[in-house]
Amino acid sequence: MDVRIFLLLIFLSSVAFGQNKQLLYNFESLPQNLMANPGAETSFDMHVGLPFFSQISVSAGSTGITMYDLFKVDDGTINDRIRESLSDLSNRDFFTVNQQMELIFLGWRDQRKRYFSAGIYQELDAFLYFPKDLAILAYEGNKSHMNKSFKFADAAFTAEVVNVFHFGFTNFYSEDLNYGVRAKLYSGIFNAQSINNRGVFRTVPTPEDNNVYRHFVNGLDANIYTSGWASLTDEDMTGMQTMNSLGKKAFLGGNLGLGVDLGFSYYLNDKTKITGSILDLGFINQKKDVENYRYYGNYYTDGIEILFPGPGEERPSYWDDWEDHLDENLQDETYYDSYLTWRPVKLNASVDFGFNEDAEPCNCRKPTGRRRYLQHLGFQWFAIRRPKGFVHALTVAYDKKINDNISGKVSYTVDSFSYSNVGLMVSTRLNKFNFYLAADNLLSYPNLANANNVSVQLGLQLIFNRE
Amino acid sequence: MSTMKLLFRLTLLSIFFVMTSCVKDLDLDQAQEIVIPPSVALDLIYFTIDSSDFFSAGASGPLVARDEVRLEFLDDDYIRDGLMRADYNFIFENSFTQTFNAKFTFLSENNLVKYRVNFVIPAGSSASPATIDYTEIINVDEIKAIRESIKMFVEIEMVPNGEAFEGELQLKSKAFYKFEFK
Repeated sequence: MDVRIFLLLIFLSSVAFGQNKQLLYNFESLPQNLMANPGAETSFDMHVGLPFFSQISVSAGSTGITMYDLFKVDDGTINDRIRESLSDLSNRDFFTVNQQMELIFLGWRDQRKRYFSAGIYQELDAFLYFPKDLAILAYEGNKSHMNKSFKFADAAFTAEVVNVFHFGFTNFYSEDLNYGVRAKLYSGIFNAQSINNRGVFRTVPTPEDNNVYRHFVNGLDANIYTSGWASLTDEDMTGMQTMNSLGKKAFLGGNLGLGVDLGFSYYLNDKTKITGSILDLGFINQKKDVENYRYYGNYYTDGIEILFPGPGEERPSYWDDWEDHLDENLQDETYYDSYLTWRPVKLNASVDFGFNEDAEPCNCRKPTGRRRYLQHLGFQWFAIRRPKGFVHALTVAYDKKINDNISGKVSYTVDSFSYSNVGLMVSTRLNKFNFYLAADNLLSYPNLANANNVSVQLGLQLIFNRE
Repeated sequence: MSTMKLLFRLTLLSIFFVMTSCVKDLDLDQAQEIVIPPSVALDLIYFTIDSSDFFSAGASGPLVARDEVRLEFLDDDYIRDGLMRADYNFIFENSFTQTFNAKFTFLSENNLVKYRVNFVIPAGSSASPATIDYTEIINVDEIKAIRESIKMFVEIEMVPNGEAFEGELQLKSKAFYKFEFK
């Protein structure tokens, strides 16, 4: 592959924290709140999402670098900027994309005030750490990095496409506590991951040994696991067969997994509520259409020793012998063993203060029966588990019910991407019809190229209250 | 206002919101200028030889040691085209009392001579071996010759001086390759 394309892919795959839905979290008038916290309270009694449109969520993000950093117009050159970026980025910086689309989402409250919800959504999630050592080796070479151990562990990524079938309920335990559970059945369409790689490459000056340098590959053990990839690259399959195959995988014909979401809302008093949720505590057993690749071994070389055979003696095949020795010691294999993947677990916790009491009579059966407020000020913590550890975000948010038809929320988030993430959500409701639009990083909209991440969520649905 | 009318207006507002966001002060054409410029340091060949490795070249020719090695580091169009400079560094240590002519000849697949590196290895002694650290720098105006080479023919020719031909000749060598991948 053209190295430029590779670099561009790395730098521009700017795609998300996506999983942090700080604008939807704790927003009681939207059913999607239940997907962020199955123990959330609901201020409606039934909902039916417009198929394929009840939630469309896209987000993309990169830490440490933006498109503007690379492609801005100034007196410098793009190559100077790439060099600077290489030195600025660390192996904890990452690029991520997340996209979700609800195919079906509906819910209803029973006579015992429990709210049940069920649906299907499709999700794409990709996460790539910046492979710092390997990028330096590719960009600068080893000449200026004698004795440096270039770590293969820096290469780490996950990518998956799944369909999620879910069913959950939220129930009040007491006036103080509301809890909820959501069971999830994952239908894996595609998975690829390479994590926990090991080994180093190093060049060491060896003036006392055979040659000037010794090049080492020590303890290499790198794996790339894939499922759903081999059939995509099968040249014998027609386009229609490929589509059929993807369709089957999306609807329980592929790799299956199980998961659960748990959550709660707890009132310290009428005005103060704390909430928490753990999402996607689950796994997928990748056993169909699996193709894995492994690269492993130990090797060092001093170059090629030449032996000066005498007249009539056969000249050794130096290069072939050198390559054979390399291949014997650094091996690759393709294997087809099933493997288990853990979904990226998400954690939410918040404290929420209500003020300006809503004195209007409520038709809904708000389970805990606590007082309702027109305005809230909330603080939320979000974390998502990635291969090298949790990634965190902190949000302060203010939401207001403007009138019966319009509510809004504004948020400020500090995360790995930036300290200037301001988000806004508007939710409108006319009769039974609800439309909402949420977007963050609004300060970047005048020039999106300068944004470390952008996310947008929107949806259409019918929401009912008992009359 | 009807629901549909409001939804229509909200949709328009959403589109306006997205349309007014923009990407500016950006020149994506700069991608054409991206150059990946690694400098690679590689071991090349090494040997230690004594008088038994030398043979007479012809009936009355000088004593020579000859060998040939394929160097397929550059056996790829993308790599070859990106090569901008090559520095070949040869370090000899000579305990013979004779001098030698060192000849490194870069050859194509069809054995056409593409580049020659020739220099003299000074005489030393077993008590005080002579050392020569020779570097041949092949810049961009000559690099085509290296791009077209795949083999290196090595010839070490002894220059007789009437003294006993005893000792060892050791070579260590490395290459710096400077690339510019576009």
